[in-house]
Parts: sequence; structure tokens; C-alpha cells
Amino acid sequence: MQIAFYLSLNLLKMTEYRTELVDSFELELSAEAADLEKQLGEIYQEMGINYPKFYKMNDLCKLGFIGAEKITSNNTSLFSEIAKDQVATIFFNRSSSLVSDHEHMTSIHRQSIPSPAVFVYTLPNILNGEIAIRNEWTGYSAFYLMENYEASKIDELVNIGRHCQTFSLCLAGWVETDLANQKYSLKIMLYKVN
Amino acid sequence: MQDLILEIKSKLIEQLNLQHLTPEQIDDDAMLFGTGLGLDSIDALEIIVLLDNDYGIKFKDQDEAREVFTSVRTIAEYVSKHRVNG
Amino acid sequence: MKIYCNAANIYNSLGSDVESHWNNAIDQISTLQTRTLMNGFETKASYLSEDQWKTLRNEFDQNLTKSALLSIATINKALEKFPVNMQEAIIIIATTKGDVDMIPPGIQDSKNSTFYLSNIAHQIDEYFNPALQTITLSNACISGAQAIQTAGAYLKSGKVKYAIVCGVDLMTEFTLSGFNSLKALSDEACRPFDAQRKGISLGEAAATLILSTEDHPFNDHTLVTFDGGMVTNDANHISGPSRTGEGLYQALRHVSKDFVERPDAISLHGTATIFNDDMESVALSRAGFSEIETFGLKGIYGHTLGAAGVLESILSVYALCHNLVPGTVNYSQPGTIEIINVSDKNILKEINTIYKCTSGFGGANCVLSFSKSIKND
Repeated sequence: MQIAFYLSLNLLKMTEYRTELVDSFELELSAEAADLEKQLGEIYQEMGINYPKFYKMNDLCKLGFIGAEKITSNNTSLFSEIAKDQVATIFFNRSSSLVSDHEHMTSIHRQSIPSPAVFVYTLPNILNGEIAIRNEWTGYSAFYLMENYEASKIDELVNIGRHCQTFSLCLAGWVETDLANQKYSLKIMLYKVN
Repeated sequence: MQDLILEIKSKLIEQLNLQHLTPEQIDDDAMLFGTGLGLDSIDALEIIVLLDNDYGIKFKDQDEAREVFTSVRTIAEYVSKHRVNG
Repeated sequence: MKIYCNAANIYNSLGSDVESHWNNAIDQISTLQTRTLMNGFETKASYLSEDQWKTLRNEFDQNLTKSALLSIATINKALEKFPVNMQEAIIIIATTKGDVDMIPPGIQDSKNSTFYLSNIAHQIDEYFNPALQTITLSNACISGAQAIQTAGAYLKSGKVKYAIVCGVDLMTEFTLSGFNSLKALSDEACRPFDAQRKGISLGEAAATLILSTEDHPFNDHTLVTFDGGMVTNDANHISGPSRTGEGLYQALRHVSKDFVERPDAISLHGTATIFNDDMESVALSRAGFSEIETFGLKGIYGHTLGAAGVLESILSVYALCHNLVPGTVNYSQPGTIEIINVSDKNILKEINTIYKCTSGFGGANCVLSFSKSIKND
């Protein structure tokens, strides 16, 4: 009876991988709708990045891209030591790609062929794709929908990601473009994971 | 023709989100795809939609369109010949 | 620790009896029918009938959104086969667009969030009351497959004893018109891997797979394990697959190295676009898998987006149980850059391990491995 008890305890033991927070970046933008996109453009220009593809992105990708650039530029030696397939990106938000979804929805009713460039951004994980292309990261990526920002849930899913497959760095965070409430929020973290 | 070339450059900058460029910076004969401006397949689709919406031009298929999309000049020449409206 | 696939369900225009779905796959009957877009473009698609939706509404709460309704229905059906203690379970939803057709025209009206993707999990939690909050994964067309990989991770971590994976996506003007704008929508039923293929057909469906550490045979057939999976990114283009199939090749290589070296059959993504099917053939060739029997299911179901990875994994597991590689509906002539071993006929073959491949917008790829298990090995 006792042996069975200890065995079952072992089965239910939660395996946690060790995650170490290396860096983080936060950004909150509050403004009239048109001004939000303008602010993103201004921040990009201030950062002195030369990446024309930025202008093709929707606001969700621009916001997340800015966060990823802040983190990678702040930690260049760390990233240079890690293989390109060992960096994971895991993002979260509540509204998915709603700003682009609205644009596409309006476009369907306005013209017989909606804009392909808008449609292509009506998926939240395109953010992971844009960052992967920029940095040549070929590893794990995921996008989760959550009702609210919850640090513990993000930690949990970084750990779960590590249970899925190997990676040594993880860029994780909340990237929300809530145009209805005129608030864009970014909370991005860089974790070392083993 | 020069007016149309300028008009098309402005439309391309707007439609393809090429905000980092001005019309003066786009050479009339520069290659649009591959090297040159480095446009991709989504941009090609956007140009097809643009030419349809703004000039009433319809292509038989994507291959026919790609032959026209070599440079701004080739687009302008095609529009000049085939435009239905705009 | 072994992870077993215990039960499954598929819900689409064919209905919700999963055994019928397998029999239909063997009989190679498509569920694609004519669908006309708002702009007049005619395509083929698979979608539930008005009567089916009426039946669902009568069975469950009138206020549920369509995605939640279909998800709850299919999860319930799977639970009938393998009841689970919700206090020890997690539910993982996989969807690309959820209830997107409910989006109001003005962005200001979006403050009311019934149609939000994150609201599906909320409705699922209210209905099933699991101990852990339901999570929602949205990673384009790999969502369903990745959700299965995630379920495996939850089980391995010891956080739960049961993982219920549900993939769902609806037939919407949003998605139809979008793919049409990309010139990716075929005007006829899609032809995976075929020389005459012209693009995709879309499909509406929900599918559920229940996994756990309990060695209960899959839908009462055979003991089947989920061996593991791999997610990679092409890091090449946001909507076009890599011409060298690099991401899918790496995923195949890793699953082969980490889990089972060589599958006996492979269930491909096979969307029937020129690019996707070519890319898969290149990836297979690079991995040395060109001769392995492969098949595609989208000629029957259409591309069910978020549901595809779950739905097609379920039928792959059926193929494993029955030692039968289904013929690929609407395939007749080889048409990919590299030769692959695909057939229009069913092939009887001993299958001990089957791989499931998926690829999607954003450049992600996911390969899963499922194997027959011998009890007590």
C-alpha cells in the first residue's frame, strides 16, 4: 500500500524546467486610433533600425517586433552564443489579430476582392513569423489567447513549451493591440531555459 | 506618360506600404521583383487588385500579370493601353 | 512515461459518428459541395447544414457561440467513449479564427467581446468546469497538431492526468474571401499532390482527441501511443512555404531522431496549392522518406484550418489501427517537384508508426508521431 502511494506521488510530481529571467521590456501606448500607428512608426524610427518590411506589418506585428528588437539589441552577445533553432517565441493576447480582422471584414463588404496583404495579417502567429524571419529563428513558436495578462500562465506555458521540445532561450510576452479601447500594451520577457 | 508613372509610383508606395521610399527614389526602370525593390508574391497580388480597382484592368492569370510587372514603366505602359477607367 | 491516445471524435457535415468518418475515408467519399462567395466566385467547401446547426442549438445552450457549440458537442462525444475526471484534466482548444464572422463592422462595437477568440475557452470552462483553465492555441494551420504536442507536454509535466484536445474552425465569408484574394482558392474540389491541382478547398469541422497516461485502447480498438512531436519555423516568408522545405525537413529529421526513426506511413498536409504540395515533396525527399506510403485527406474534408491537425491525426491513428493507407481523394496524376508515394487507392500495409505533418502561415511546421503499443512493453 505504501509503495503504491509513493509511486503515485512520483507520477504526479510536477517537472519544472528552470527558467531565469534575463531581460524584459514594457510599452504602453494610449491614444486616438490613427495616432497609435504613428507612434509605433516613431518608436521604430528612433531605434534606428533599417528594416523596410516593418512598414508592411500590422500594428500587432509592429508592436511585438519593436519589443523583440529591444531585447535582441540589448543582449547581442547572449544571442550570438545560441543556435538559431534554440530560441523559442511564445506570445499571448486577448484580441488575436482583431485590428486586421476588422480591416479585412470592412474590405470584404466594400470591394469584391479584399486586400491580400491585409488578409495575410489576420492571424496572431504572424507576429512569431515576422520575428523568426528577422532573426532567422527556426525553432519553437506558439501563440495563445488569454482573457487577461497573467504572468503565472505565461510562465506555465514557457515551461510546457520546454516539455514539448528543447530550446535554451525564450522570448515570451503579452502583445495586445486593443484598438476599441485605444490601448496598445507590450510586456515582453527573455528567459534562459534549461 | 510621366504623369502616369508618377501616379503609379505614389499608388504603389501607398498600397504596398513602402513608406521608407519617395517616388523620386524609385527608378522608372528598376526591377520590382527579385532584386531591385524586392517585392514578393503578396505584393504582386496587391498590384493586381490595385490595377483592377483603380483602372479596371483584369488579368487572365498571375503569369500574365507577372510579365507586366517588371518595372514601373512597363506597368504604366500597360495601364495606358488597357485602362477601362480611372 | 507513455502517453496514450484514448478516444476521439470528429464532427462535420458527415455527422459526429467517428467510425463512420473512418469508413467514409476508406470509401473515399468527399464531403465537399458547391459554395458561392459574396463576390460570386464559386468554390467547393465542406460545411454543416442548417439542420445540423439547429440540432446542436437544441441540444445545448442557445447563447453559445458557434465555435463553442461545435467544440462542446465533439468533446462530449469523445467523453462518451472515455469519460474523464475534469478535476484532473486540461482542455486545449486549437483554432485559427473562431467566431470571426461575428465581428461587428465598427471597431468601437468590439468592446462587447462575445466573438473574441479568447471567449471560446471561457464558454468551455463554464460548461465542463475543469480544474485547470482551458487554453487556446492559435498558430495557423499547425494549431491542431501543435495542440496535441502541447497535450503531451502537459501530461509529461505531471500537471494533469488527462488532456482533451479540440480543434475547431468554421466556414466563414472572412476566410473564403481571404483565400480567394490570395488566389489560393480552387474553383473545383481540391486535388492534393495532383498535376492539375489549382488550390485549396475549405472545410468546417471540429475534432477531439483525448490523451492520458492510462493504457486504454484508442476508441476501443488498439493501444496507441503519442510518441512526440516537433515544431519548427521556416523563417522565410509569412505566407509562402520555404522552397527547400527546410522547416518541415528539420521537423521530420528531429522526430525521426528523437522518437521513431522511420514511419510506415505519413499523413501529409496536402492543401493542394502548387507551393505547399511541392514543398512537402521536397522535405520528404530530403528526409529520405520519398518511398514511404503517404496520403492527404483534404479531398474529403477540405482544409479545416485549426481542426485539421486534430481531425487528420485521428484518421491517421485509425489508419494505424487498421493497417490501411487511405487513397487520396481527387489525386490521379503525380504532380509534385519530387516524387512521393501517394495513391488514389487504399493500400493495405502493416503500420506500426505513422507521422502526421502540418504546415501553416507564419512559417510554422509541426510533425507528430503515433505508434502501436504493446501492453506492458
